[in-house]
Amino acid sequence: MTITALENELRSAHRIAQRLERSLESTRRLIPLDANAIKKLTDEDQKKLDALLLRFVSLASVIQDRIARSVLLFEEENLTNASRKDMRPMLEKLVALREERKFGIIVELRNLIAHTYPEDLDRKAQILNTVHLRGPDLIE
Amino acid sequence: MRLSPEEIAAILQCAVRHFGPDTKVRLFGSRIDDWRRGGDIDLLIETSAELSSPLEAELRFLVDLKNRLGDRKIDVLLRRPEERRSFVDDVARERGIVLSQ
Repeated sequence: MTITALENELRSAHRIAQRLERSLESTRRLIPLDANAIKKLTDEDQKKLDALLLRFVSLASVIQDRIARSVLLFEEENLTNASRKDMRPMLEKLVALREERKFGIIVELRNLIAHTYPEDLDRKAQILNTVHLRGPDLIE
Repeated sequence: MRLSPEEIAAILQCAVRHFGPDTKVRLFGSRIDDWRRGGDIDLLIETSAELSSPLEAELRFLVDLKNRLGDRKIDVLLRRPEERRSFVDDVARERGIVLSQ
């Protein structure tokens, strides 16, 4: 892992983080949501919320799947047999991750977003509210 | 049922911690079939506790449980007793096995 490759990964994450920040800002007035509020959303607001979820998932994935590994390889950590979950405490030790547990919650939220049925509006509302709560942690 | 006593204990302890002492946990899906191998851990968790944020509680439960069991695929349906959101709830209640120590 070269410093240039790592810098490229970080630049890519930074761009997604900026987009996520804009999405959080543009949807803040809609939060908190419930199932009824979701039914009444305009197409425009629905698109903004879809973009918010996509950006949250993208940033969580880039950090978990690419940057975490790249940072640890750059630091010459032994990643033989290390799962993604194993990497989080290693990153916390290197101070590359502030709180391993907080990032664990973000990763679980990302997984739930991918596995939630679009017609489950209660669940969708809870997810969007939690993305607003946890989004700043992810950007940080 | 394909869960070890240690795995069951971990699930129940994490469930009580995050969803309250009256929580009932049912295992359903492929893990109740002794003839299959591997597979997700599918849990129907019923609680009457008033959770300020059920989703946050679910996320914290998953993080804690994976810290105990390792990075497994765990799916949770978190419901109030008698609450039904889809046919999967019925399947989980009819065929699921209530976990106990």
